[in-house]
Amino acid sequence: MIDDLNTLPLPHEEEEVFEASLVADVRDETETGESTRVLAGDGTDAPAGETRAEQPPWVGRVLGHFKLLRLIGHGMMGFVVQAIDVDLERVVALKILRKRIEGVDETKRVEQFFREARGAAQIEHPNVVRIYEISQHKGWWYIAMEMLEGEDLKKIVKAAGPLPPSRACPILADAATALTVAHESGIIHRDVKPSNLMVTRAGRCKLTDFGFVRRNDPSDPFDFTDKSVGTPQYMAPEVIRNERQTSAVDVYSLGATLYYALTGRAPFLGRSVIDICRKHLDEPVPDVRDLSPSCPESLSALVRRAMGKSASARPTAAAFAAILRAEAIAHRDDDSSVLASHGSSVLAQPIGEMSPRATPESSVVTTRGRLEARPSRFSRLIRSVSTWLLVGTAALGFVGGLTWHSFTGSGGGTKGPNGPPSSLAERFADAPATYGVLPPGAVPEAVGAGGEPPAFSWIGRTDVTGLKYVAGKRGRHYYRVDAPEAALIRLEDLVGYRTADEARADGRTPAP
Amino acid sequence: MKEIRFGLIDPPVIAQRDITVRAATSNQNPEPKPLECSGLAWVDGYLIVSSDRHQHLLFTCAVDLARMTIAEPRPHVIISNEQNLLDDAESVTVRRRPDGSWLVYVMCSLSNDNRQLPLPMRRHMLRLALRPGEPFSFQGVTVLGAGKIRQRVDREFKAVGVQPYRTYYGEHPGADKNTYRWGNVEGIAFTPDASRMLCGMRNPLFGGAALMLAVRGADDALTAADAGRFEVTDVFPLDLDRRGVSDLCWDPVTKGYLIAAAKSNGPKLDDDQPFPPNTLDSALFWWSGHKTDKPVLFATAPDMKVEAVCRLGTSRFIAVGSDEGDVSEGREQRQSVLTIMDFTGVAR
Repeated sequence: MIDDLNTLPLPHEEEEVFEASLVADVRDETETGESTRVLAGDGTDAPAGETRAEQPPWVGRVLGHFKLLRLIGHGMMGFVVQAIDVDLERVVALKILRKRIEGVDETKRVEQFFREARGAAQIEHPNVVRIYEISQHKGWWYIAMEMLEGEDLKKIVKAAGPLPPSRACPILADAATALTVAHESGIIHRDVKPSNLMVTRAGRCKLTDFGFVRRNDPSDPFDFTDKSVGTPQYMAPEVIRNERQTSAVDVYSLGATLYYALTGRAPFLGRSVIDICRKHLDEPVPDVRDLSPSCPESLSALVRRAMGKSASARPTAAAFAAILRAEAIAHRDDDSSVLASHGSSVLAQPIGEMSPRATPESSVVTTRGRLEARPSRFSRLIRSVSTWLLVGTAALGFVGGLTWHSFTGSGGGTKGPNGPPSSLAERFADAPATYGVLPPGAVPEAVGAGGEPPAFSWIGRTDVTGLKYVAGKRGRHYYRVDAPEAALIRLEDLVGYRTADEARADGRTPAP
Repeated sequence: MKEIRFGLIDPPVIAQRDITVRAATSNQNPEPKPLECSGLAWVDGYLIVSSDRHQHLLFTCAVDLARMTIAEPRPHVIISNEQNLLDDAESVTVRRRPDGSWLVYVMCSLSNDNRQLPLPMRRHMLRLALRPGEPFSFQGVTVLGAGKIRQRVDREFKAVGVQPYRTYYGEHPGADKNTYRWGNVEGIAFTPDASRMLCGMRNPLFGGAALMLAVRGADDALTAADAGRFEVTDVFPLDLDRRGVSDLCWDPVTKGYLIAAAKSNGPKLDDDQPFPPNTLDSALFWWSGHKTDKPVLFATAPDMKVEAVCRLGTSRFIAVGSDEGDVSEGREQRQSVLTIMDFTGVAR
């Protein structure tokens, strides 16, 4: 979440502006030391030997109600800071949005930031990073989120090599579970990849970075109609072609991520992003066992199925999770050195030492226009390098669009009072006057016959002689037998009482 | 003897049966859940029954019109791809092709769920080819997102000021427990010339009237798997005495539409009331199809929750499906009651 960042430092003048907006911690004299001690004791990866001089000058100052403790990384769109909520004394990761981003509209910059926060906040699940708040301080927008202790899957694999199925399966099953919940909520993540799967020190996986989230709905205004969004190594064919995207794009990426976890490399590599995209479109999915011969066939088949070229051929995230849970049990072992119950050697890499280079794997690609499989047009797009925008730092990714708020409508977006129904007719002036075959006003004789229309219901009657009150078995209230509500109680649920005292003794209260 | 009369089966009701059966709601959810009838259509001696709870199947229910016996419904798995599941499938209709086979259409409600979430599955539309018999043959299953219809209608709602549908959800955080559902389509029927599909909405009402949609290009869209071919050509109100549409069908006998209507379900502010609430007020209407004609009330079912209606072929009988239980409220019995009524629509 917070380490797959480019090192695009804050421009000097921006850093000055940022620093000027902060306030000193009035409790500095008495509490700074304690805060520092709490952090160290909490094991939040403070690099050994890191001195304050290596950190920006604004470290130690206060943004809103967060004391800034340590710069974790920069991105094109902003920067991530470890901070402590001075009110709750809770360590958080603050994702702070830059004030100006070249080429990005001001309104969309903030709207997208909101979208990311809302996308993650909508999904309350142990396998999804928690969002605490989104707010701004003197024009600096920030998201306060759960500070995760651990490493992302990409770094784990880089450090430890391909994972055995017994380790890979639970991690990917957690991720698939998170996606299941997201998909059930109509949310597509669209940037599932190893660096967005955070493995905590307890060995659980959390899905992070909802910067490119989209509603699985054609009426979502944030629909990237002219862009492909994702990370090339894990991008589904329909995304590359800029076709309709469903939750299946996440399953494809999940399959590619499983391949990465089991083999230590992405399924398709290439000299350029275009090469990689072409392979996603045209080449069969490589067999996991070519690189990891001991991998069971079932997992290899699952990868192939999840990475099917056709979205409809892929399993759902729920099915993917269920299969992986079963596989995890089947391949469980107890001698792994990759992840111990309370930490792992691969987690020891200090954040300060992380590689800053931006690889294609950690990039997000957007394209303008539709990417077709046809080579000629595809080639033209390849040459049109200017139409590609490589945006580093998925954690702070931003492409632009409208906000979640505008979609849910907050009341449906209706304005003004109800107008007369006839106003609809004005909007469909060309619509036919009838959808039937009879002339206007025609009514079949018996239909229009006078008198009260017949009523019908289901069969049932019961003798209530001697009873004065009745109640439903599950009901709180009791009613007089001649009350209209009494006839609405199911016959099989009916309980009768001769007196109100009997009913009260049975725990009932009078009907309101 | 003093009696509580749980409603009367007066003429014209001639048969009734609780047809509640249980089946898995999807491949991933094998726990059997009771059929919750949401739509009915008639194909050569069988009722095709949709259930708003079951996401991957349809039910068929044989009815012997001569003996007026009603068989137990049988589930048929239609959707094997979990990404094409239906959620809140509220309506079903059929159309006969020249070769004698039938096309079955199922429409989801287009609504948001109780947590206000606009689930894609709630916007699916399904079409399949059916050959009745033993066993039933289902072919050419196509599922397409019909969100375009909602998009267009939503623009119209906003333009003329139709208030969205909100209803009670007790677990919703905050003081206001009535969550945003947008609206819901509960009945579909093709016009006699099959040029348009009419969709009846249960909610919201507009000026007390139910809202109807006319959609062109449904078959084109489904054949081409291109939701862009759905074209909303009309949105108009229908006066059902402050009720919404809970189902709708074309009636070849009376050459009009049969409409099952009921009050809006929400907002419901108190769970501790007998069921059904006495505001359900279900009723059956006949409508000529002319937009200026007021539908004619021909039967009431004040204490039933009528969800479906259809003509049984060209017979004198119509079927009414009602849902008299609610699992979420602890009532699992009588999820589906089938009532067959005599309704000729002409002088007897």
